[in-house]
Amino acid sequence: MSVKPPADLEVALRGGYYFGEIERLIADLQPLFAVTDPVAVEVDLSGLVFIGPTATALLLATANRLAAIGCSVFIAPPRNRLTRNYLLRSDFVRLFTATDPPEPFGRLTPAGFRPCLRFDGDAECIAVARELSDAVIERARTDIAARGAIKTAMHELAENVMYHADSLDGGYAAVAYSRRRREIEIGIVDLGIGIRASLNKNPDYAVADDVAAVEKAMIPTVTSTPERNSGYGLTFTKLLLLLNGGSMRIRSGHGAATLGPAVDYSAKEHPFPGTLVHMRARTDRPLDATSAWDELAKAIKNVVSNANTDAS
Amino acid sequence: MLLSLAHEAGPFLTGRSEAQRLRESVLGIVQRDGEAVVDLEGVEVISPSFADEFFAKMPEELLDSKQVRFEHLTDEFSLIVHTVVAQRRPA
Repeated sequence: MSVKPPADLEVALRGGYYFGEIERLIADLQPLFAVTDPVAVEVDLSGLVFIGPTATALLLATANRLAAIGCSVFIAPPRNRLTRNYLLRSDFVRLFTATDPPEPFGRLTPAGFRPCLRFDGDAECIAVARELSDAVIERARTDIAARGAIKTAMHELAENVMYHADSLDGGYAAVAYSRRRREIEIGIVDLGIGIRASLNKNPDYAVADDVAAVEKAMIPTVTSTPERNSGYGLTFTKLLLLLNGGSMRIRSGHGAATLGPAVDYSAKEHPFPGTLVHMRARTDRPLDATSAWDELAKAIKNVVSNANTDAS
Repeated sequence: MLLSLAHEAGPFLTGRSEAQRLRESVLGIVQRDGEAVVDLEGVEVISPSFADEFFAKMPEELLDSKQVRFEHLTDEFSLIVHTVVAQRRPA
């Protein structure tokens, strides 16, 4: 057994990072995001009583990024048995340490849940999209069109990470169902270059700040790699969720988009180093793919029409 | 007098500030009673920083004279303690 050195940096996460409480976690992880040199880090989760899937994916991405830059990372597990078990069956230990967890835990695998998934490469991208969409379909109210739409949406979002993030270790995704809230939460996280840097690779879409970048990313057809993908992924997913009564939140740099029920683009105090897409779909309402495709077609028509007007 | 770390701080021992508080408690006991026995029964996790702050910063003379002793120090925890102590007090 090797002993980790005493930490140069200690961060404690306490309480609950409930479904949707991502902003507080981003704030609490700032000291870890700022690390650029190999140092000894301690992340104290002993006081953690709840963590949702997106927060889990974010924590895992952060821990692995620190390890990738040469940090020694010690993570004190949660004292709360249920929270510890959730992290274990989310494969947190396996994905962080590449070893089997030291204690037994219950797999359970209820419908709508998948362990945290890391993806880096085309095959893994396809696999994670399939896992996420299967988990959603297991719980959401869907017809055949909606099932196809969900698969398309998840694939588009995973491909965004592969083609735009320039992340050291790909992306992380997680999904879980809340019976009490009657919703499914899906999180896709990468600690790559962020939306602004990605868009700025294409002079046609260069933006000055992170808020403008997040706003621009929600315009259909906008993509830094038009030869490779359509630029519809985020817009279509947003439409699908909003029509369902769900919501979507995107963080990248200081930029934040909150989509549903109201739409808001704003600058947040604490920067997020990469891109995080956090989605909530209601399981007590249908996912209406037909209307989502119609709305997307209208949105594209508007974009093209505006572009033609600007050109003339 | 016996000081149970798990009773004082729970089974997961993390954080320098908590370690400093407990170390000062031990020193207070030694000052009052002449000796202190630190019981690690029930402790499940010791973070390296806690170990450094609590064990490695414990005055060497108190450990050598056995005025501060440890009970239920498992092999795993012994390794952590020896490692952090060696880092602060290289031979």
